[in-house]
Amino acid sequence: MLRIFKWLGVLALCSSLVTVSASEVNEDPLERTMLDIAQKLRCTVCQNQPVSESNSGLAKDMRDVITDKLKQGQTEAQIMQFFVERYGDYVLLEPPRSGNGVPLWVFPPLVLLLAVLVAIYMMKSRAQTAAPAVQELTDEDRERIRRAREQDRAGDE
Amino acid sequence: MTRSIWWVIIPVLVILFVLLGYGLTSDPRHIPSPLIGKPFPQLQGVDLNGQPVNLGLVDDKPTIVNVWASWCAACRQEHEVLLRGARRYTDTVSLVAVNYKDELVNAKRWLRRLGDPYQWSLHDLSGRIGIELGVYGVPETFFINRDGIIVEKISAPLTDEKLAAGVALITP
Amino acid sequence: MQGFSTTYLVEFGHLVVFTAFIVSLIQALAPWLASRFNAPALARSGISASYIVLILMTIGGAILIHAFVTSDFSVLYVAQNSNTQLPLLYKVTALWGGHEGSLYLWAWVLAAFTALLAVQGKRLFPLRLPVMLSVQAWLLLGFLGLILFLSNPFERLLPAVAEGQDLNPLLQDPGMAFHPPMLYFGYVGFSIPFAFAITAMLTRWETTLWIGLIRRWTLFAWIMLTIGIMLGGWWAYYELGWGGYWAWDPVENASFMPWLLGTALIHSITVQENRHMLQTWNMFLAITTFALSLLGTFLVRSGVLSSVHAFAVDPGRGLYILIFMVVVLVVAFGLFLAKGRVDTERESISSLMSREMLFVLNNVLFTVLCICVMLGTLYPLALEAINGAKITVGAPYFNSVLVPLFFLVLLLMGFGPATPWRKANLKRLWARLWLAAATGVVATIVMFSWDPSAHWFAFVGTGLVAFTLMTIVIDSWRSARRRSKQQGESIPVALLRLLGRNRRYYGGMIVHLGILVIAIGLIGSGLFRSEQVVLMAKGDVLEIGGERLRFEGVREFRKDNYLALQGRLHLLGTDTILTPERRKYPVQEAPTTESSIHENWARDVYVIIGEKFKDKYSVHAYVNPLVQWIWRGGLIIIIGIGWSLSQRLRQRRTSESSVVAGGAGETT
Repeated sequence: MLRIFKWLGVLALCSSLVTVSASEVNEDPLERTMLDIAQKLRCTVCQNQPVSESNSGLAKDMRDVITDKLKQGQTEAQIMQFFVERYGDYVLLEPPRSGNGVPLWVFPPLVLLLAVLVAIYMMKSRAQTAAPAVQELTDEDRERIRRAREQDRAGDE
Repeated sequence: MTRSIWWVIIPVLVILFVLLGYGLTSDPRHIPSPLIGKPFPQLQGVDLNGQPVNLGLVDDKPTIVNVWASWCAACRQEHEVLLRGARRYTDTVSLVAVNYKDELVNAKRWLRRLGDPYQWSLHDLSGRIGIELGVYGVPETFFINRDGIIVEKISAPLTDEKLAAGVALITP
Repeated sequence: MQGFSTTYLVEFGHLVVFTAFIVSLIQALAPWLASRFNAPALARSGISASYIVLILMTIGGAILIHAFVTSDFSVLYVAQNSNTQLPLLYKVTALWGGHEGSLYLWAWVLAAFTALLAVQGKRLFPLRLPVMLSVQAWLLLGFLGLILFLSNPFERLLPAVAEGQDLNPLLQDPGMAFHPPMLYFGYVGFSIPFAFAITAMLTRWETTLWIGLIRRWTLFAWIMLTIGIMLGGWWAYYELGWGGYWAWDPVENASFMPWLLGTALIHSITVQENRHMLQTWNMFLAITTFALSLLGTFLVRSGVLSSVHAFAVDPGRGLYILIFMVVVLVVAFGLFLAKGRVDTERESISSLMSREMLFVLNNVLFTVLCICVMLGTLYPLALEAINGAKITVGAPYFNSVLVPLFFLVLLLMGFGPATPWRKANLKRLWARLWLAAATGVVATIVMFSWDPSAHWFAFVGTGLVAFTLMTIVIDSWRSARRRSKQQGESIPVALLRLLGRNRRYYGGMIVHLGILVIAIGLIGSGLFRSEQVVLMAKGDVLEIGGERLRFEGVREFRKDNYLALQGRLHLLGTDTILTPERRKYPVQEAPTTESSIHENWARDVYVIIGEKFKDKYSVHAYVNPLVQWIWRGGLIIIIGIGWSLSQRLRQRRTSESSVVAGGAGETT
């Protein structure tokens, strides 16, 4: 009986060893860098997809080009520049922060500021003078409140 | 509600409508090329017969570079135009091509059946040459003047008018 | 129905819709005709007309569904969107799989809501009902016109083909079955507040009298739109295989813009009911929210913007919708500018530090959000119009610009309920909020020390979520404690009683909780996602995001209407085998990827199988922390709205008498 357990134990040990020694794969860092760059480029034949996600032929070619250029030692900036020179700013997924893209980045904070200021101005210009002074509760008031609460409680039951 | 809101809402609406109306007339897939006005890049490859070729200004004449593929239906559409053009402009311009992402066999068969207007077609199986030229679809056609500058890029099938206009641009 | 030939059923359907067009025309003209010919009874014909239109549209819809179910490929639309191999459920949902059918659904829902409005209006606002129904009828005429003249789902394909083209495989999914109808319930639902606003301006109807009535409609439309949007994101996550759920695609934005203003409208209605303010804001929001529904319809169907979701491009239809939209907006905003103030504002802001002011800021913030989304969506078009240049405005832009604005919304969400009406005493406010503020700061510090390299969104977001969560907890605690003292109940009982008696308020708090849960999910899955793409052979193990996946090989099989290649990955530490697939649909020939996901509350392990390279397969794996919180948060929101809607009205009076309807007796 114990022998069976012993063999089972050996078997378990062996299989766990097999698990540990099976090849652990890691992402190719070059591929990761390529995908990170591809993430920032727009697939020019797709509808609004980054090159990293698209299955189209052009996107695959672009990913290959990025990989080749990374192997040649080019930097991300150089690779992005390469595509912009040939496809224009359109190929960047995020609009440029200069030139044609300036209004996009400037308008939102401007609109927010403007809207808040306008709202405050309009509200203020229609404001009453100081809110009516809060008066202390009189005993009569307290009595009314107590009665109302009792009725309320009675209504609950 | 102050009258001043008029000055905000009305222009906004007008701009919106005009913009959307314009949008109906434009093609969201067309991309203007940043290569226009720049020198044609120096690119090398082999043609369909295996001979090495240089893509750019050919025979020191203004050059038309047409990007085509046998799997492209629209290319068949413009092929007649190119055949006519090749005959008409044979002395004034050079006409070469990039065969984009095509099997050699298919490309050759296509030219055999429909006619070959080009001096040669550079075989771009991988599509890399296309990327160097900012190609995003087929067919596309580049017009290069005598100074080697890309004067025009047409990202649609050619017509006789477009071809004539392009030739006029590169032959002063 | 023996002897009833189905040969011309489809033509009959077309005729039925044409009849609906005529009847709608009568409904649209009824009030004018009644006054012109001095026949008041004519005005009420609009009510019967709305019922008839609904019946007719239902008949037409039933005929179309019948054509799908019987695979009648002599109908062009059926041939384009269905296939004999299609499972029955998808044969039915294919009705809204393409442009013509989904447009029909839009019109059908509009007809249904109009009829519902008639039923409600007969009792509550009989005098103005004809005008309201007329407004709705004009809208419906616009859609029916488009359907009849430019987008006919009943068009024949002769000779009929033997086999249809098949429904887009991406749409063959339960999520897809409900996503468009939910969205349309939302879009069309917002036509009701719109109709109220227009009617109010045309008939001098004091806002106070009807604002309570549109509250439920607005909540309903909002929750439908929310469900529709969430289903879209959920479906994208499970179906499209890129591990994400929202891409700031123009069509997604088109549904998000009315959602934003709809949210503002809901809050703004509350202010009006409580403090008789912001009437003009409410008019504006009611009009603009529906206007954005129309804009969304235009953007999706006109081909103006490039998008993954866009229907087949047709500038002719686009022009029609644009003109329709122009007419509606010019009339609506024209009325608004001319007659926007149907009532004098009875109250105004007394102090800048008050709940009223915070609500105003809330309105402003959501409007700004909406403007920013529109800016990003339409800017490429505008730029091209101005100088021909083309740029892309992608997800990174929207995230950078909108998330900070959403942080401000979270801040308001925390401050709002704690700030009293009229005028806040700053010292008392601080006494209520200091604990929540401290919690927020602590949470930020904890998050920072846990991962200093994370994007600053994570730190601020976590802090704000903690802050707002704490304000809700404290607020509920304080109210429960106060009540338990007064009523002599224990605190848990007091809390339950409060929940039950104040459903509107606590329903709203539950919705806010849901939003916070979603926010947590967004922070986790948006900022802390792990991703790897590797080649794996049998036996290989991938370590990602704290999980380990072992590749066990592939299987190939045939099922339903596709051929599948299935990868098998063992998620080590569990019993689960993940089975991502690549499917080939012979009819449409576009291969699809099916992701395989292992979910729990802490993270999703999300796997896709790619192509074969030599003897290895490409495996794309993600670990998305907390992503399930997003969908759970959506459920919480639904519960919250349901709770809020279940508030029983104490008084039922017609809203056209001088007594304020609905508002009295409902306290916040």
